[in-house]
Amino acid sequence: MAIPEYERLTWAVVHCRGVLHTAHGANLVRTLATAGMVAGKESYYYMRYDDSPERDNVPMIFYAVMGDPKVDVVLHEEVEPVGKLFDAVVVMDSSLLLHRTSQRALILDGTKEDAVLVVNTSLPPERVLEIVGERQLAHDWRGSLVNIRARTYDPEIAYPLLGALAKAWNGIRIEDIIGALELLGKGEKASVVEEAYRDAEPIRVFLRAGERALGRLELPEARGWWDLETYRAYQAAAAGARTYEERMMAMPRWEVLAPGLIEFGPTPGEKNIGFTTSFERYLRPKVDKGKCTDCKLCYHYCPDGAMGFEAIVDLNYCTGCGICAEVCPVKAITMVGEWEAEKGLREEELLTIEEALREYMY
Amino acid sequence: MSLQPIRAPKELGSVDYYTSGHRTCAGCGPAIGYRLATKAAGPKTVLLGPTGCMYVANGHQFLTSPYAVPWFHTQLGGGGAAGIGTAAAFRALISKGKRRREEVNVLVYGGDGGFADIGYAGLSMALTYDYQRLLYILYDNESYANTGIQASSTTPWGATTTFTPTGKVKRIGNERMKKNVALTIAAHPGVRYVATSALYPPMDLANKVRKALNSGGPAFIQVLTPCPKGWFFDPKHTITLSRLAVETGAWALWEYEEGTFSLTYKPPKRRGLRDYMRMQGRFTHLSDEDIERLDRMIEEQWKLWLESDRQGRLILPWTPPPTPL
Repeated sequence: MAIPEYERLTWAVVHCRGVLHTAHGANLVRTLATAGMVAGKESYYYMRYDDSPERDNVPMIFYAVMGDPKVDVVLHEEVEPVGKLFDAVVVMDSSLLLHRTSQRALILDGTKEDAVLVVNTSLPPERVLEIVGERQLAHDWRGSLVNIRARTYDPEIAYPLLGALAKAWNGIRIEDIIGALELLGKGEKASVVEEAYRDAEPIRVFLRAGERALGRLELPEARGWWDLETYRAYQAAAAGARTYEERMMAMPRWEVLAPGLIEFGPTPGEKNIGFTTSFERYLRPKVDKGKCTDCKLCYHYCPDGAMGFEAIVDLNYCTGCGICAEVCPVKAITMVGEWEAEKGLREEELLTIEEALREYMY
Repeated sequence: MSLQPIRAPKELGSVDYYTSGHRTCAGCGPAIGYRLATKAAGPKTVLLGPTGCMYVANGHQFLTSPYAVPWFHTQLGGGGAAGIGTAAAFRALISKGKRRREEVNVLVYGGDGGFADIGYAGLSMALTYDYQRLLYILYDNESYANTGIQASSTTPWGATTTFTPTGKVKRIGNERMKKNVALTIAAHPGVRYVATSALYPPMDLANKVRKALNSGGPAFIQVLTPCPKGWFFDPKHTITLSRLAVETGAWALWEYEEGTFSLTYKPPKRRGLRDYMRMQGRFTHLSDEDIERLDRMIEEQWKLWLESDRQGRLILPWTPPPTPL
């Protein structure tokens, strides 16, 4: 439920991927909240697993909240904020823009209309805007966008992103961020933040949501207990939900499940239509049918059942782990980047799991 | 259910009972094991499981689930009891004529927390009953991965976990030895079939599940499932690591059927343990001498495994732990 008094706070949200960006996301919101403290505000940061426990590649969310000490607002601990609240959105992996995330559905869900969007990417801003307009818009957006190649500045991507954020967003000042870095014992990163601040080029944007604007979610009327048809209709609504609120609304009502909250699962041969997992993917398999010997190893070794019996990939469920390419005895499967497969663009800022593990010293 | 062993992956069929649409990590090993096991068990199966990745990550996705057969999520310690309870209910209903006489598999798929630590007592008790088509599968990812990689009693020696981090004071992460749960289960006289399995060879798990369900009594399989998050490796290497675990001898595949022991996979020439250990981030801090010591320990153990196989009797493959005292 939307809590109106949260609108009196300043919110920043960071979208990233589990395990890949956990440390970076935490660094970013910690510095941001400390900068808020330096500026004389009361601040708080927390991690809200977009998808319950943190898992490899699964979208993850960090929040930093700041408020004037004179404004009396009770922030419920680790709440999932609902409504038009966020002033700034940071996206650490641009492939997150290509799909709906698991819980908040759209990256721009919950943002104010004049929100600042900072994306870590090597792509030109117009291509990012194109994909945001196509897939991530819940309402009109007349804010600003900064594309920054954070990894080329510093392997710790939080700090360049902070510099870019300070340039585009009037919610935080660069001096406060530098003060916060000193407080946190990260004074040596000040030059990175300043450099990114200097180079960042925010552009003003105006995107009209048009047909994609949020309307009323059509929900089925429960006709009785154990109503399979209504249950399926709820599942379809959940799969099409565009906000966190809609996701919650599309949970089947208890009459449909009762007694004992018993779920209707898929029947053998079907898949779980209420929950797709494409949000985990930044790579996707490409099958060369000419080389395929039909050994079925990729099919049996796919953890998500996304590889079909005839080696056709179901992109609604593929998480891009790469097991299929690895087990293929004739190397008929190759992994390609998600941006490259969809738009023919090469994303150089992508942090792969191999690099992430190296950063954790493994 | 056919008793013929499955030789090629093509023979296992194309219908999933644990389907797509769950939020496990990319490259999840336990999910692959679950798919293979449920596929081998077939449509007449009830799935049960104590809390763990396979239930927390799989169930209740906005009130949806990926299970195409009936399933039930039990308490963390309750996997064993839920299994016999379900099997007893089927037996009672059928004997009273309230249910059609048919063979229903009860498959309890629990993690090392659910079966090796917290639910071990319940599992041990359940295996003293005589229910048919009751199979307990322990998917062993060698840690409490769901809550963020805490050490369990099946975590191997030397591994870094959040409970046993490596550092300057204690260089070696986990100093406890991995518990071989399947060996302890083999000591239960009532259990008909005990086996260890891995995701490699490809149809090993499926064949063992079929054998276990047809064994005429309660059965147990421990399957080693690599966990990308807990073992710190690139998700694409899940199967590669299963294969290496088997080929380096770090994980012995055997079955114990009514008193007769046999190895189901004998590595023709055992690979050095280095290949397996160096692919995993959790062992990065171990020195070459540490790995050498472990390798020698496994060499000793394999002498005993091969002797057990020759005699057809179980000899405990005990060796002194590698931690210098």
